[in-house]
Amino acid sequence: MQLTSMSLMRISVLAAVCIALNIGLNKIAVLLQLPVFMDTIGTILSAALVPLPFAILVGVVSNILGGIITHPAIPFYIGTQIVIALMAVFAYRRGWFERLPTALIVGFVIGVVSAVVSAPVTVIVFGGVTEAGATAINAILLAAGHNIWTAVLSGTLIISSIDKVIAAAIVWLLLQRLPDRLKLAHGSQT
Amino acid sequence: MTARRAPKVSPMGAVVMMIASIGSLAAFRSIPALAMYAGLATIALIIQLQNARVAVVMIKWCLPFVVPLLFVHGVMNASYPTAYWLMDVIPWRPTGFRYGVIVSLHFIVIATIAAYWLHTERDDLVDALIRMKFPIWSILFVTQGVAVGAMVERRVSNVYLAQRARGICVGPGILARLRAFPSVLIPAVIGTLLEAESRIPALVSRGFGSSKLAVPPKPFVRIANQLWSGIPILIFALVGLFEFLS
Repeated sequence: MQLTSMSLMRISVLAAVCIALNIGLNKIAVLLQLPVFMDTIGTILSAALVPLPFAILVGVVSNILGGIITHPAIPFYIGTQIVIALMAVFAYRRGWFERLPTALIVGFVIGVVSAVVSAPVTVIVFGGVTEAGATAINAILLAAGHNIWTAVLSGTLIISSIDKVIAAAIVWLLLQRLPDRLKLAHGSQT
Repeated sequence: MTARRAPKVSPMGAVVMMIASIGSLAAFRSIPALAMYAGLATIALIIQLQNARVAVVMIKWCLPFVVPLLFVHGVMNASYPTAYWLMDVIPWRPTGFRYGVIVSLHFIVIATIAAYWLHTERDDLVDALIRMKFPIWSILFVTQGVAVGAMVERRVSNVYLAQRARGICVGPGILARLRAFPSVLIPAVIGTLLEAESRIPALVSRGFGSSKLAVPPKPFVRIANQLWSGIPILIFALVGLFEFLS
């Protein structure tokens, strides 16, 4: 795949904006005390704006920078961002972000898969503590006698699926309003 | 007269700190050793920066993590045995508490790494990336990502205030804030993307991306700063000796 300097510049600038969205919106969600992360809108949106390798890089770089700017725990979830980027690109290429119902289903599936991917990190590295809402659910389940894996997976599943459904709905809204020249064609490999 | 630049951590110092901290997470098992390493590394950073605000950042990062962790495992986690009941109501689980303390100390060490990188001079970091021959687009990723991130935040808060001024309900309840989020977010994000698009031809017309970046000369680093880069290794060795002897 040969990229001209113009297209490489276009991809770099748009990818940088997607990174900025991940970091900026996550900080705003924290400031507004919303019970969601909002740190994957940029990654999901990047599926429609830049090619797959760059969409993955958006997730990776966002988490590295987020670890310095927002919270030190964020870089440990790089694997989750990679999975989200892969799933978002797959869904966008099949045109599943064209209509709201399919976009919401994609968001839900991304939420479930990302919960499964991030739960081991939450258990092994952070002892089951994560974002406040999920931690509260985990604590209740632990007190009820569930083991830490079941508790964390259940808590993360609930919060993550809500978070990703909201993120997918926002991305659908954004794609409706964005000019076509900014978006990649469906089925595009570049 | 030029203003005195606030002391910052060099990129090399942050890399050394990261290696020493990963080593400490792998090597130290006891609570005193981990606590000693985290404490000394934070104190070293405060002295290097001549600013205690780093402690405030560390507390802001660590407190919301450590308190729930100790509570969850020391009180709520039923998989740990209860030693006794406080006021016949609250169970006390010392094994769970100990586990919580160890995970908390690991997190504090991780937060120390982030604090070192947060206080690295960004210009020096970009120069180092150019000297290491990173592709220009990757440098653009990092620099633009940070710069536009701050811009997105400002823009969203401006739209948030504008919506409030128009009488649109943007709070105070969680549901109201969630409902208002898209109306605040969409204009800000679309504006940012369109503005970014308009920057592309400007960057290309200035030759950005088509010509090689001039490699910046290696900066002059004072001996004191070079010595600071070695401090994390010294702390690691000291704590290692302490753990070995005890």
